[in-house]
Formats: sequence, C-alpha cells, structure tokens
Amino acid sequence: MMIKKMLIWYLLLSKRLFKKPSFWAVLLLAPLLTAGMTIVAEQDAYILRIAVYAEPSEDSLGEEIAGDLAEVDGVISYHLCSSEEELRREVALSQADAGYVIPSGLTEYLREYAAGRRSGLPYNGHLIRVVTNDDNIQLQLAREQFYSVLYPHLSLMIAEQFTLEQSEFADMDESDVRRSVKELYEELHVDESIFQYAHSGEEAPDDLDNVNYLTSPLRGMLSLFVLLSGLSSTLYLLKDRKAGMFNWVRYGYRGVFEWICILSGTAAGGGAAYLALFFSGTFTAWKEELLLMIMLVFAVTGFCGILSRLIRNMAVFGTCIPLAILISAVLSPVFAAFHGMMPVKILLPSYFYLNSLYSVRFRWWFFLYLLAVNIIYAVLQCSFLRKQKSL
Amino acid sequence: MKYFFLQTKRVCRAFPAILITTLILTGALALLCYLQTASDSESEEHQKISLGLVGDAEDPYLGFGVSLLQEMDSSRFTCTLTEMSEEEAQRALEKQQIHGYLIIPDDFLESVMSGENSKVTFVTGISQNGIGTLLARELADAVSTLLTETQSGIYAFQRFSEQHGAVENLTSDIYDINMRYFQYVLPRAELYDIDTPDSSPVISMQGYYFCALLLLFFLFLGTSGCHLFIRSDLSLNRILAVHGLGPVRQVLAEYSSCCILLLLSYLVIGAFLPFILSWTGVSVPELSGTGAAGYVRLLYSLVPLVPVTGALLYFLSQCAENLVSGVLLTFLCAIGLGYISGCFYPLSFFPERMQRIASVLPTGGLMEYMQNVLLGSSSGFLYLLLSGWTLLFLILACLIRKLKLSR
Repeated sequence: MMIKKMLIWYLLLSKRLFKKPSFWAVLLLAPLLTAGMTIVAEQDAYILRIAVYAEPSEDSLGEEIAGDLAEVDGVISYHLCSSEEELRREVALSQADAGYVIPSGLTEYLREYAAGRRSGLPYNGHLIRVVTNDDNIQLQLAREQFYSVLYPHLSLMIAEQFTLEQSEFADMDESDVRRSVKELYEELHVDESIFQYAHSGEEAPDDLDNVNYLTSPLRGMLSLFVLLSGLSSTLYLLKDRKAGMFNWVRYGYRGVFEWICILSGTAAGGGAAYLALFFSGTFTAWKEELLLMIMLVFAVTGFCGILSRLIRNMAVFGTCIPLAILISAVLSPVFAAFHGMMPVKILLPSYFYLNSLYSVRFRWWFFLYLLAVNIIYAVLQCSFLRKQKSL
Repeated sequence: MKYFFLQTKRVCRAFPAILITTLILTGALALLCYLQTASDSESEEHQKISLGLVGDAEDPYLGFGVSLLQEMDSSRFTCTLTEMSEEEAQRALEKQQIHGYLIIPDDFLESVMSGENSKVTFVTGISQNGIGTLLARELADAVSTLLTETQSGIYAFQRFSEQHGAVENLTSDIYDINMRYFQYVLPRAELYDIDTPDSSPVISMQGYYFCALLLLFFLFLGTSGCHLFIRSDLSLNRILAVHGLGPVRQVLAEYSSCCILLLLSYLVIGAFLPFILSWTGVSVPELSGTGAAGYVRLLYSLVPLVPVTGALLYFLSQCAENLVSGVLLTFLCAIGLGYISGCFYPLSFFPERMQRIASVLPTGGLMEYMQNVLLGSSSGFLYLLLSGWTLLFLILACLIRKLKLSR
C-alpha cells in the first residue's frame, strides 16, 4: 500500500517537472553536449605539437626517423618542416611547442657516438638540437619518445661496435661483422611491448587504445550534472515548502514525500546522464553503468535530503549549490587528481561514483555510502518531526 | 526607469546572499589552491609522473633497478618510482597519490634473460584517464622499446659469438655489453642540445588559468543568481506591458540589474584577489610588479566580462521556465562553453577546427580578450565579436519575452 502510494507520488512529482518543455530541453541538452564533445574528441588532438626538421643528406636515416616520428600515434604530434628557419619560426610563434633538428649524415654520427667519440657531434657536442621556449616535464617526456624512435638504430650500432671491439673477431672484415650482427638483430628482434594495461589490479588487463583525454572528464561532468539535478530539485522543494504547497501530505509521511520529491528530479537527471554516457565513448557495460547510475541517483538523493534538513533557507541553499559543485569538481577526479582532503572527499557522492567504475571494492564503499546518507536523512527527518510534534 | 530601479533593488536585496556565495566560492578556491601548493613543496616535483612499483620485495635486482633508475637514469627528471606492496599501491592510486603502478611478475628477470618477456602490468587508475596517465603510458611505451631493443642487441651479439665459436668468455662479454648499453641509455638526456631562442610573448600557464578561473567564476555565478531572473509567473510583466513597458524595455531593465549584480561580485573578487594570490603562493608572472595602480588598470580593462557574461546568463535564464531547468541549463552551458573555450584544458590541446570554433564563441572570445589584456596586446576584433554576441543575446531575450507575453 505504502509502496503504491510512493509510486503515485513519484509519478505525479515527475509529471510536474516533465510537463515543462524547457525541462525536457535541458535534459536532452546533456546527451547532445556529450555527443558534441565526443565528436570533437574524435578529431586529432594533442597535448604537444613538435616540429621536426631533418637536414638534407645523402644518408636517409634522418628522414627515416623524421618520418617515423610523424607516424607516432599518441598525445604528442610531430610534423615535418622544410627548413630550420621554418622550425624556429613555428617555435617562436608558439605554433609548435618544440622543434627537433636532425643532422645530415646521421648514420655516421651515430657510429661515432656508439664508438664513444662524442666530441665530433654536430651541435656543440650533442647529436640532436632541440629548439624550445620552455623545458617542462611534458617536453622532457617527448624527448624520451624521440629517443625511443632513434634508439633501435643506436642499439644496433652499439651491438655492432661492441662485437667489432672483441679480440676474437679482430681478423674479420668490419662490413661482414656489421652485416651479420644486423641480420641477427633483426632475426632475434622482440616486437611485443613488455607492458599490458589495466584500470585496476582487481580486473583483467584490458585495451586502453580508445582512451582520449578530451572525453575522460565527461563522466565526471555528468556526475556533477546528476548532483546538480538533485540540488536544484531540493531548491525547488524548499521553495514549495516555504509556499506551503505540500501541507496536504500527512505529517508522518512528509519525510518520504520530500525524499521522493528530490528523487524525481535526480532520477530525471540520472536518466539523461546515462543516455549521455552512452554517446560519450566512455561507456562500458550497460548493466554495470546502470547499476552505478542508480547508486549515484540514490546517493545524491540522500545527500541532498540531508542538506535540505540542515539548510532550510533558500538563499543559503542557493549559495551552497555552486560550492558543492566546485568542491565535487575539484576533489572528485573529474579533471585532475587532487591529493589529500580525504575527510571532505568521502562526503561527496561523485567521488564514490567515479572511483567505483573499475573497482569492485569501491562499489561496496559506494553502497555503504548511499545507505549511510539515506539513513542519516531518515534520522534527521524523524528528529525534526519529533521536535515539531513536541512544539 | 522605475522598473530598472525596482529590479536593481531586488538584486541588491539578494546581493548579501550572492556576496556570501562569492566569498565562500573564492575562499574555497583559495583554500584548495593553498592546500595544493602547500602539499607540493616544489612545483617541478608535483608535475612529475609518480608511479608505484610492485614486485618481489626479496628480489635484490628489483631494488637495484629502482635505485639505478632514480639516481642515474634521465627518467628521474620526469618520473618518480616508489617500491610498494600491491595493496599500498592500490590505496595510493585510490588516494590519487600516484598516477599508476607497475606490477612486475616474479619471473620477470628470468623471462627477459630467456627472451620470452613476461608482461609487466601497468595499472593506470581506477577512475579517469587524465593527461598524467596518458603521458605515463607514452613513457611506458618508450621504456618498452628501450628494453626490447637492448635485448635484441645483446642476443645478436650472443648468437654471433656462438656462431663463431667465441664462447669461452661469453658470460663476462655479455656482462660487458650490458654495461655498455647502460653507459648509453642512462645519460640519454646528454644527446640533446637545448636551444631557447627569443620568441613572441606567450601567456604563462598561471596567467592562462587565472583567466580561465575568472571566466568560470562568472559563469558559475549564474547558477546561484539565476533564480532572480527566471520568470515562471509573468503576470506583473503582462500588466507592465499593458501600461506601455514593452518587452524590450523590460529586458533592458532586467539585464542592467543583472550587470549590476555581476559588477558588484566582480568588485568583491577584485578586492580580495591580491590577498588570495599572496596567501596561496600562486604567482601570475603577468601580474607581478604591476603595483596597485597597474592592478586597478587591469581590473578596469577586464570590465567587458560583465556585460558579455551578463547577457549570456540573462538569456539563459529567459530560456528556462522553472528553477530546476534554469539552474541545470546555466550549469550545462557554463561547463560546456568553459570546456570548449579552454577553461579546463588549454585550448591548444583541442583539435584545430575546435580551436577555430572556440575563438568565435563568446566565452572563447572572452578568454582571448583576457589573455590579450594580461599580455598588453590589442583586441580590436574581439570588441566587435563580444559586442555582437551581447547584442544577439539581448535580441533573443527580447524575442523570448515577447513570445511569452503574447501567450
């Protein structure tokens, strides 16, 4: 009987929201915006843009390395320049974050380098010239990537040089040794990466090739959207409570009614967020996503219910909305990880939701959290009603 | 005029609450900045990729490998490795203290020596794949190449020696070739000649995020102030229209009061900003050394933020029919426009086509305008663009009001 009543209230309160076309429009805006962002993210986007110039030479190794760099797939983009002046201009105008100049006759320089003769290297005793305005961590990482493209050639030359230096092969022809070592190097080459990637130690390693840094904050943004749905529903509830709109509800049922009132708005936001996630390119399995979204909706409802009991002034509650969103955006891993402030983090539903995606352990914590917030809401509501009765 | 005063009075009555919002928001932001800067003694250290290393604690080679990487390898400038148990690593990852961790299988060294590499599992995080994680992955790919290429070189030498019967000193020769590779791989940073030429003025990262935060601050003020401008009951406005105060004049009066609200908030944040910056220890190079007069001039130059964001927020509040829709709409537009205009990630991280679109959006225009102000560059075209958007938002708001009144 009670459940039937709750269902009717839920449907009536939802109808009240959904009969406004602007509410529909706003809910649909979430998947539309997400789809738009996903389309944007599908285009080529990079954290660093690096210009590469290989000095003209009869030796093709420099151009080969420049070509290999241009084909590197990842968050760093390499493009070729036709002259050093063009490369310097691009760096000076910040069209490129850095530029690499590869000397002509690279093979010979690499041989010299592998043989330990470093003084003859072309750029003040160095092999590669890096033109840059700044030298931050990302650019240093990009140089590691550059080295990984250059290194196969250097590694072969180190092996050749070391073999030539051994007294056992001193009477052999140098070119024969180099040719044999090269053939063996290619024959015994290990192509497979030594790394496999996983989101969590609890689950089997998976393929992260589709990961895109532009779409990665979408899930976090959508969790904030659900939180905001709950907060704005609560604001609406406070307005109605002030206007005495729900005075007809029996006193003992008022807590449940108000909870359903918040739930109606939050669930609508959750539905839109679920649909948006589906279009975001970060969607995993529908059942797990649905479970997590339902948990988020109930957690947000409990969280907002507690706030509605603690803050009864509309203006003060309005003040809390941007604050709650800001704190959730910074402390939950929406855009970046923020260390510390654990006591505040564990108050936020979005923190549990975002961390539960790949962690079973966190899902249990999330479940406990949603139970806790809803129980606290019920306790606060009961104590409020008791206080009212005694008055 | 009377309606304008009435609206302004309404806004001023709500201003204390908005002021509290502004102060709390500013305080929260400042506190977060302070905690972040205080917890990281050196910003360089903070930017490094921090990884946990999970392996057999008894294995002496693992400890040797970690200290070798942390003390001699070039990667020590970009990455910090910490040995920990899997449970510790998982907890550190959950607390966002590390970007990921590597699980080294027990037979890893034996497998490398035998040429059948056991896979190292790189656990990259339980929630999102941020830029740090992706960079860590690029680094892992590079490390993988170094290891497999070195293996190929060593195996090639070994096989060559075996083919030519030079096996007498092979064990010591293999040790020597390993050392030779170390000699080349560890100091690989010495390969580069770093040249930093003079270049055109570019905004610093701190300056960029100063602009982004200021813009976001204005956009999010809309979520707390939009209830003042959402009209679910237009009875009064209908009466006013009958008495000659048409939709255009109503909109202009309400928009002006919206601008007054934003201006007041701007003045408050402007007054507190220097204290916040000095307290948090965040230094914006473009602001340093400007003095009080320079700071006031900067605040004055950034005033165009008020009418443009005011027009945008006012227009959004006119599109909504109730409070819930209004708050959600303002939030979605603020976060969407902020994202596309580079408030969360620098605009250079986006595809080129997107950067072009962002440059003609009102928020993208405002970001560029603020950067120009900080750099002291001219913004001729931007004035035109921003005026155009302001006008467009007001015209649309007038049309919406007219439509609603005629219903």
